[in-house]
Amino acid sequence: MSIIIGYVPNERGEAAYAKALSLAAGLGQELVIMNSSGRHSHIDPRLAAESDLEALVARAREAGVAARTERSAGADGPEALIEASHAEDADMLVIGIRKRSQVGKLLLGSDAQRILLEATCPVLAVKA
Amino acid sequence: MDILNDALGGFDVVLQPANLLFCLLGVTLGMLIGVLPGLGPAATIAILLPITYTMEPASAIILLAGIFYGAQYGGTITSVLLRLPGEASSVVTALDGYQMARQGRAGAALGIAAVGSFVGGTIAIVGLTFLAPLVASFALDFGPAEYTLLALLGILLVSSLGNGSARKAAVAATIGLLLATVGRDPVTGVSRFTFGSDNLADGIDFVIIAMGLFGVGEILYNMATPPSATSGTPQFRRALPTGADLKQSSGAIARGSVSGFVLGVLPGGGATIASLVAYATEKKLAKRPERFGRGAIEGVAGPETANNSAATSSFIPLLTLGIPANGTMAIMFGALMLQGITPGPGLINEHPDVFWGVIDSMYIGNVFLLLLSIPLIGIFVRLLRVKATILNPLTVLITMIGVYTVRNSVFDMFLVIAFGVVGYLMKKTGFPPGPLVLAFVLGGLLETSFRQSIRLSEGSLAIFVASPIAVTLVVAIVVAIAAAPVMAWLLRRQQARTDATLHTHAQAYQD
Repeated sequence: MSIIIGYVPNERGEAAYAKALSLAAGLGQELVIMNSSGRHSHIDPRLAAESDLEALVARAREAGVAARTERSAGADGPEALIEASHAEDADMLVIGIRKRSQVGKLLLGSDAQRILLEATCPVLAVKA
Repeated sequence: MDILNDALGGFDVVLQPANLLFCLLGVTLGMLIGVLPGLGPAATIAILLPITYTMEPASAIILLAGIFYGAQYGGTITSVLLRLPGEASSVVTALDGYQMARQGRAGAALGIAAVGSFVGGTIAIVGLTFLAPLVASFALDFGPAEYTLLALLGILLVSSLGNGSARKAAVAATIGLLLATVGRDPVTGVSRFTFGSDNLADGIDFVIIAMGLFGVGEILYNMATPPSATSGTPQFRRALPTGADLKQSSGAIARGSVSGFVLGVLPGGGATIASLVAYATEKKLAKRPERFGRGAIEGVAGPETANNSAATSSFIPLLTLGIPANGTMAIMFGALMLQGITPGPGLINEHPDVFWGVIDSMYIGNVFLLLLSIPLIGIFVRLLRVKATILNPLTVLITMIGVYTVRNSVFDMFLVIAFGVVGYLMKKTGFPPGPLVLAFVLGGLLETSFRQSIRLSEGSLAIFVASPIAVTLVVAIVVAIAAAPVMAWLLRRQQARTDATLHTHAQAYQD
């Protein structure tokens, strides 16, 4: 059984990671850190550097939690998380969330809404 | 010193506020385009051709020229910071430049690239200033026979010396020649290959082919390959090289300027080949070649100087002889013809303002580039965050609007789309579009001159060896046919080595 966290290198991702780590430690489960890019542009601010991901794994290890990273090739962030919730022995999905207005959701879409509705396992949305 | 008088007269043209503005606009746009991988100066110039209709000839060429050598600067930025070459001529820079960035010396790499580019460009312009009138003075005795041989030489050289397979380039050139025959026969007025269509009766417009092949074709190709997303940029403090860096790279810069100048003038050469050769030269001449590939500053200084030098010097054959040296110059050729100016031996006398205006604008453009490149790097890099799903349709939209302004014809728009598909297929299968455009542009000249020559000589081929210039050209053609395979093999070897190290696709780029 594992807890999957969708990580992006900003404060929401950090908050989600902190919560996911404490949950994994408490429940004694493995932590799967997912970070992928939809490859829409040449620099993707949502893609985390290798060194960042390694630092996260190290932090988890210090807390006594088994952790690993996963990168999905070519799939969008939400896409990859939804797939992971199907495929893995996933206990829950942890994501960071921010408030978007209704017009914002109409124009730019809401990743969180998509994940909430389409994932097959429980989703925990952490506020920054 | 007549030359200096004329050269200074060119500044009269450039220093008009409108032309200064166009120069600035051109180099800025060029740098932006250079930063974006997948969009090259050829495509941009092709897309902006309709805008140049309403401009003065000198202004138009100043703008387009600025885009060309500005793009050589921009490509370096992403090469160094992200290992993502923005232009084909910056691929080699990524070898050592990225390593320097990882060692925390991104600022030095970018700074030395800017300095080298400025020096290379300026030296090439000075060479251009003195060499161009010299060549043009020989070119005054050109008659139809000489023009025929010149056009033939141009087509041959570009077909055989370009990047990639010579055979495919030759096929592309042949298709270009075929397309040039569509329309009315220039001498007898008979319709050829028009299939009864009114729209094709006047022949295919050069702009349509250029915009379709280079503009839409390149965008389609980009859409087929998703961008390689990278995480943020490595931080750099100031893009300035230290005194020690400058001293270490001075040799590389000097050599790069000269080799770039020579390779840019050669038809089929160009900025990409110049950068490859400069890198290979620096590596060979270095005291400790094992430094290369690990952050050797000469590996950045040499190629960057060479590519700017080559980009500038590739204007010489165009402005003096009317032979485009590579695909992008072929589009410039077309741009000049749109303005009613036939580039060639007569240009320096008939339109000295265009000739010298363009050359002098390069001095100023280089200064702009040096001033702009260092502070604006951060802004340019932000451009890379824009999603391809926004950038590509926007470019296609601009292209389509541009097409419509050419002849108010929807048929033209469909034609552009058709050529776009052809361009995409050509890129995918490795046929370079440059020779096609070049052959198309030179094909009309070739045919008209040939028929005039035959008329003049009343059927005898002796006219092609009648004058000393003609004989020289014939000898040059023979030499080109003989020597080209060797040169092409040498250059491809270096390119293969670069590809192996960087794991990039050579075909994705175009000079």
